[in-house]
Amino acid sequence: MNVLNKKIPVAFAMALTLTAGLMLSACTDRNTETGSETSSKQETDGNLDTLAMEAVNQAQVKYKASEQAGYAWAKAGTMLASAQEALESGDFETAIHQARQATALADTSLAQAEAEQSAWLERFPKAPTGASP
Amino acid sequence: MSINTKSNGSVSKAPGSVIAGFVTLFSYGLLYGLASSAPAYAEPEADRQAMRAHYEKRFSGIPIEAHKDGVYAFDEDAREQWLELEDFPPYEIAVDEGEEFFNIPLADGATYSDCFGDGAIKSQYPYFDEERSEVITLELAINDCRRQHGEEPLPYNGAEIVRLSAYIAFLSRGQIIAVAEPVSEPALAAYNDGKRFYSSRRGQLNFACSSCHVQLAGKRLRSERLSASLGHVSHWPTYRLKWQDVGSLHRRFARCNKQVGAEPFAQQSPEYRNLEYFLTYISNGLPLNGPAIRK
Ligand code: HEC
Repeated sequence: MNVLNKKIPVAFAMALTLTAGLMLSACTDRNTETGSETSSKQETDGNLDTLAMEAVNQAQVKYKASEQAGYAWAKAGTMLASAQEALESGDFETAIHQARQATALADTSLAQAEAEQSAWLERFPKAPTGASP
Repeated sequence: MSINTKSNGSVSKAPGSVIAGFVTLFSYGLLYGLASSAPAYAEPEADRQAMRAHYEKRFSGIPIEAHKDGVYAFDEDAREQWLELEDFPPYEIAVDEGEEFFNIPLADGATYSDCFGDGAIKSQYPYFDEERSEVITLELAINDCRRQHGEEPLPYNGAEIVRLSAYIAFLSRGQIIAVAEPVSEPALAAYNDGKRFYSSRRGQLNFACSSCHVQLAGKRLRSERLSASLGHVSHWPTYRLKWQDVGSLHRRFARCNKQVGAEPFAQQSPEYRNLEYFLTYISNGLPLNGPAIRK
């Protein structure tokens, strides 16, 4: 798997895109659950706004970290921006949902940054052995 | 989380001990080609030769120098349309405007020729400035010149600097790319930073520059053939039909970052300057042929 991925970037990319996609849909599922949980919570303790703020803050921290690593993903940035907008307009459920998506994307980009610390070294063409320059 | 990044992630976490690191690498079956080489980095000159060998093999029958024309080196149909465009080159106005800018006196009465002589100086850039310990590109040098002579620096994404550099590129046509081999530790660090950037997968699509322009060079991506990296730096600024204007090499870098879903860096950021330094070094020997036209 690993070696295959090294050699077939397209397959690797598709795999990652797929996993990212799956992750996102998983996240969506989770969020729907959390969403309904939080709605009922809101009815009881009315803290949806706090949860939304926390979710947006967490996404912000993760996105900043990915930027600092030099591996920020555009989609994470736009998702974070719309979460912030939703938060400001008082649409807390949407804010939570989008902030979690942004966090998931930023997490994946941080994993990419981590993997690339050494993975890139294998990728550069090697001089053919014994070839005279 | 992602299977791929995770499995690579554990490679990246190989312990500091060299032996443990090698054992981990062996266990992943990745250790092809570097079995005997203890240092992590190849010499820049070995990189350059490896790249040339790669493209010679991949594009057999096409001389390395021909890649200065990008995809038009091997895409016959596109080449014909491109040659027609060259009859009335759309970058000509930018070159003329650049000439005007070049000759307008700066705040203290000096002109750009006090910094750049007759202007045919593009092959001197980029270079690694040991004193400042950073890569100096032509654009950076233009702004240095302005500051020296009492002017505000130009914004790197603005129209004026790209026209000035179009004029300088035009005057420098035919010069041979000849970046000095990075030798000092800081110069090597800048070079290797560019090489790392070039070879690292980025963005949601998880592609490195090298995925498209080395491994897939010559292949089609959607409607476009993918060009070789040797020659990528030879012809800037370039008039892109898509931009309806001349634009800089760093603007193109940003475009290529964006198309894989990565956040781009600013023009003339250290990241892009180091990338330019690396790419220009490995293109040593190719002629400068800017400005050019591209889709
Ligand atoms: C997903 C594939 C892909 C990736 C990844 C990619 N590019 Fe490109 N790039 C293209 C395509 C498509 C074009 C336009 C056709 C061509 O010239 O190859 C292009 C064009 C270019 C050009 C202009 C070539 C010319 O002749 O004017 C440069 C320079 C360039 N890319 C540099 C880079 C750099 C540096 C990176 C990494 C930051 C990169 N590219 C990553 C697809 C890619």
